[in-house]
Amino acid sequence: MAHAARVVRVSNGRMKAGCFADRRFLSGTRGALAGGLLFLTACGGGRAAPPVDPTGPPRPGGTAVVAVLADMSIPLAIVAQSVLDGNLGGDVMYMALVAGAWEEGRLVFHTAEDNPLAMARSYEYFGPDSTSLRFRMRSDLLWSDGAPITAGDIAYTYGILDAPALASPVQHYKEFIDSVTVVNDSTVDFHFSRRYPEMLSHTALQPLPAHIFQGTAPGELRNHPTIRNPEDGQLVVSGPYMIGSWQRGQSVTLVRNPNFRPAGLLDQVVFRVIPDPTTRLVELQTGRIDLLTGITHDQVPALRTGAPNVRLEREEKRFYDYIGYNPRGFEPFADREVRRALGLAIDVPGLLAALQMEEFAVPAGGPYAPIFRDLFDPVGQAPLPWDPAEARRILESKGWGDSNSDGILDRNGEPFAFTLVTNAGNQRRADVSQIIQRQWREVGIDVRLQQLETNTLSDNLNRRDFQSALFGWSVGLTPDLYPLWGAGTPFNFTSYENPEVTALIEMARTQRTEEAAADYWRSAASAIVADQPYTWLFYLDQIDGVSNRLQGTRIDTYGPYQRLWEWWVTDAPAAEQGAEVASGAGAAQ
Amino acid sequence: MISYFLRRLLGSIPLLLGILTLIFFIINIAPGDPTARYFNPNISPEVIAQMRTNLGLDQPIHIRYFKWLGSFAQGDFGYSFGQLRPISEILPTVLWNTLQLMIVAVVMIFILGMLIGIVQAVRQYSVVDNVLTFFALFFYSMPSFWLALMLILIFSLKASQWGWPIQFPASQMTSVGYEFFSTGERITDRFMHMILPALALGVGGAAGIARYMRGSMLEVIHQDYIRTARAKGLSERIVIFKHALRNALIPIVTLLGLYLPILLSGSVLVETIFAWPGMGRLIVDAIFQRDYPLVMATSFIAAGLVVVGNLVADVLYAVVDPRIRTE
Repeated sequence: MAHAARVVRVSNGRMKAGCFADRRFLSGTRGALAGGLLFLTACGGGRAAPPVDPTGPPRPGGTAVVAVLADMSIPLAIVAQSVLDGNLGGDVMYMALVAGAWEEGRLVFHTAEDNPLAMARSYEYFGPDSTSLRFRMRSDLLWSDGAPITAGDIAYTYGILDAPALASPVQHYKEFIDSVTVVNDSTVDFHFSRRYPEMLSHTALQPLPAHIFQGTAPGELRNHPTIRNPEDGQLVVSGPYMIGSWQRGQSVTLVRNPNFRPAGLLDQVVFRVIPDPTTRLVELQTGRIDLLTGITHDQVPALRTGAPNVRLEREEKRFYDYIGYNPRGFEPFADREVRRALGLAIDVPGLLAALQMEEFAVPAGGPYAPIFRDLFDPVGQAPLPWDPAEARRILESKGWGDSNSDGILDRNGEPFAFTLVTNAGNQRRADVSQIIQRQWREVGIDVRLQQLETNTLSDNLNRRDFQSALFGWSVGLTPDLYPLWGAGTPFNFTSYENPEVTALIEMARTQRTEEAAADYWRSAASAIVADQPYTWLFYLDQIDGVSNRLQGTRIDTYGPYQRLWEWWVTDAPAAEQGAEVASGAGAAQ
Repeated sequence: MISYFLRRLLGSIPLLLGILTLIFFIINIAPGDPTARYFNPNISPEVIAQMRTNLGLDQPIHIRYFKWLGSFAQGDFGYSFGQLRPISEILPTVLWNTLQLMIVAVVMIFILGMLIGIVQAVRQYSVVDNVLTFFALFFYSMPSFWLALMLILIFSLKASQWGWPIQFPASQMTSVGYEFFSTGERITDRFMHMILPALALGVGGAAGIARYMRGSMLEVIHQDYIRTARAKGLSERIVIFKHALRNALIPIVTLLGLYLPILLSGSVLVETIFAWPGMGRLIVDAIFQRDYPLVMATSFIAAGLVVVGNLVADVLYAVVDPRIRTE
């Protein structure tokens, strides 16, 4: 705690020193207000144009500013509510037994040998049919309050994970975990009910400090004083940064965890809540923020021409957009050939070109994005070609013709007309739906477009109260198709059911290893693609803008906040200057 | 006067209750759910069901209504589903943030609007009048969100790209590192962050007041007593600011109270665009997240402001016009 306060004072001193240095250039005859205003343009409102030297060695100190769409709700990964909860809880504030990364087209888990965010030095499978995992942890680990991190913390966390009152969104991690036993302070065993490919990933949950929460009922965890008031390091964490201050609705300021090694280079990382996309972009362009995730493709030209100090990085193919067909809402969708015809009538490459998205998106063919080395099958999951003639032929073979010459297909007096719903506030989907409406109209399909507020749309999807929907999913890094395509699962919006797919999914889930499961996943994906319950449209990159002032970032498919302790800013004070400033600030106080 | 004031206050209680009851049922019946934030295929339906139980959403709507009413009557606004803390902790800060913005906007609206209106009335049909009329109508008809974006693009983005000496921040109330600033620096920092949102919120209103003021002044300066004042040889300044303005102000001052709810509704968009952590943004977030207790609490504040605004308008009317007091 004392160390945390010292960290804040150091950054205090550095910030003041920097600002006063700028201010000296403004002294003289200028009035106080003018001086103040100009000072703000250099220091308060943003920062003076930094000396950018990204090729130099990483330097400690300084503050990086990240813009986020919404505030943190709760600083615990196991009960995360918002995106920021998951990002901070998962990648920044807490360690896990093994640390995830995306390498060569697959999700891998590193031990402490390769990633200091991992608690385990090594792990091994043992027991009958290798249904147990033993982790040997580093013995030098400390929580931010100085208490040792032990196997007991792991056992405690998994012990409360499935408590009904906790209602943890990651409760499924424990689905096949029978028990977690403490062998000694630095050795912990996981015993599973069966061997399956995702055993290791299900041990990668961020443990809680048992010595803090042990006396708290799981249902009351969210109300624990250190959760309600986590500022000033009150929240005990294991990762490289902890919460220095939290101004609700405005910002979360992280400061170094004194007990994490290697120590983070930055003094502070500030996450500022800026809901409006245009405002976020302006703040990046004007240098007031250093990292902005989720830049839309139409914002890229402005950044390229107007922000030379910003580089664009990508989280490759992390999202896809699709059209889902609900046979319960429109009976003709029950025929897979009709669904295929609808897909053939859409010119996805043309659509991407029209929206100038070609650089950031590729046509999609199935549930696995091309980033998956072992799961993407370029033949079985190939995008549908654009073939309106074939689409017309299929529809005619199904009895759809234009009997009254009004340009709309009909059958038994019923026109081929339905509603395509999407979420309001997403300009890309609004544009895509209009283009598709026109393309479908050319083959005689009449589509009414509807936009609904996202919460309302998700409610309609859950109740299967729609005909067709243009929507999207983020690409999960694990291969499991069950949540979306398992018979009767809540998110199987199109009520898709194919016994062959169900069997393949079950086979894949019961394989011993990911390698053994991959064949089944690919086959299941190909079978789903053949049935076309969705028309997969395109896979999208997430585009992140990073100021050249901020270096050391590692942004890839895994996400933007990896190895945050390695981030540094080019205008950080040199080590000896920092020491001077720190001592000066200390003396002043 | 006091009994009238109290009567009005008491009369507003059933009105507020009616408004809140209506909002309670509308927001609870509306499609969507507070657990929609967990729109994730990996989260099991059992967990979602448990979350709904934890939030009390498994109970029938009328039970939830009476529970809410019971707590509300005791001054307990409940617990925010989204922020996971008591609403009584949330409201004071955001309300004060919005009030700061509204106070600056109101001052700007009335001072600027009245000045422009007076100039226009005194210089009726002149070039100045026509130019000011053009700009007043231009800003009056401009949506506040569009004006907000234009202000950001010009005074933040372009000012930065073109190297203007003064550049305004586009978001939030303070800069990074505000807590380390000196008092003077803090005041300047707050001022700089306040300017653009206050302009976005207030310019349209100022243009509106200018139109009202112009009309009101024109009506007054054609009265006989103004002609008499001029005939007495009084200077034009005294005629306008002492004799004409006082009477012309009567209908304008009453608008002050009516502007409170208008500004609050305007702040919904302006606060979202400028990332200003106030009531407007809170209302939007609460509705989108179906944070029912927070929606009810913010609705109460908004409805209360409307009632208070109307009361203020009536009271001010009585204050500026002695005839009303007599009646």
